[in-house]
Amino acid sequence: MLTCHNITLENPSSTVFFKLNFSALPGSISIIKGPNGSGKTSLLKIIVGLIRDYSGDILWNNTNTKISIETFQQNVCYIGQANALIPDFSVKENLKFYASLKGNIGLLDSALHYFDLNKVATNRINNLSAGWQRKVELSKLILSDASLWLLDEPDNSLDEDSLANLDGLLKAKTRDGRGVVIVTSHRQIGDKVSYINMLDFKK
Amino acid sequence: MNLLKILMQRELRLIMRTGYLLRLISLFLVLMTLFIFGHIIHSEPEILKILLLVQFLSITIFIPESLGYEYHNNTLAETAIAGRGTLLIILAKMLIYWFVNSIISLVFLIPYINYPTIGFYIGIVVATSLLITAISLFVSILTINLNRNTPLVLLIASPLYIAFLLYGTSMIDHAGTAFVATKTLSDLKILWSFCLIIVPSSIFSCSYLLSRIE
Repeated sequence: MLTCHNITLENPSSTVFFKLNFSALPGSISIIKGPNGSGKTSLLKIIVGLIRDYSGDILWNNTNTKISIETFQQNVCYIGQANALIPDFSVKENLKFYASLKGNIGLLDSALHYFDLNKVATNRINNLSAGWQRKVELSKLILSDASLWLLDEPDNSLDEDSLANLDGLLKAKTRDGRGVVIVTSHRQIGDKVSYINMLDFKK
Repeated sequence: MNLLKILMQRELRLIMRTGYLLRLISLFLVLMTLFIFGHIIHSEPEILKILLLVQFLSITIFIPESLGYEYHNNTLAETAIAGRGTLLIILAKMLIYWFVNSIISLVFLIPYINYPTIGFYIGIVVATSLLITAISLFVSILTINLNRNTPLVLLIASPLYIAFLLYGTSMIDHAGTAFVATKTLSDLKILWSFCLIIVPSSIFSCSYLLSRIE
């Protein structure tokens, strides 16, 4: 279980959010909502360890992540707002590298299949449209056996079919006991979700 | 060990795919051609000077470029998160750049070197490449950490490069004397000692700096 306790983020001119508290339970979806600039992306980056200049505590199964951020990161799959793909590698090469890092090379075919990436598997990323690139990025979810998913605007550039695939994946994986934290400002994902409104933590 | 292998394979593929090898060989060919047509090559040390110059130029240009490439397409942060730490990323990057530069340098060097001195020259090329790679990685990561404030980084890093260049130049001047000369051997030992100190400390400091990147 992930617990954020009194997280405060300040930049030189203002407080982005103040004493933010929330918990993400296994098997649940937590949606972070708020207007542009309210700190949604920063909050995810704080949780995953990409921003360290904050105050407060993040607990993973009751252990502070500051004690061992690398152990925590092994339990997390983070999909950022911008894709993390090497433009000069093909779709398959990008996913193969990620699968190797995660030790799940056997899942590569499933990952290519889920978002129907087989037909573009040998194409380089920089030759693909934004929607296809996003699908490649999201395919990393299949390759990860992390127990917590942190997704920043995962639905960017996706068409209707891919959105349905994503929703299906989220629902299936939460049934398996994964915790999911999503930043999204566009739409609803299912009914059994909890919401974190960033405006509640403005100073 | 397996993770290091994966990272090195990826680094090597990246080097091939982004045209690094081609540019490195082109740089060698251009410089060798210029020197040869200028009739200034009289001895093995002259050749060695060219090789070291190319190594210096290539590594100091391409390592920051490679790191910047990965930083901007977010794969650096992702690999650090998914790859369980930054130490191995730095190690893999350093080993691959060192290996590629040494190999290419030696390919160009060997036809020009007489048999008795070949060990000495190989030693210099390999040690130099390792040293520049370590320093260049350190400077690259420093640049990223300081939000790409290049003038400030240059101010901090220049002494490292200048000291190395001065030492390297004097050592190569001595190299012409002979492989058996005691002075030359002791210079080589000093160069290796530099490597043994700078390389591990660079790996650890780079890893720390990289982990601080926001």
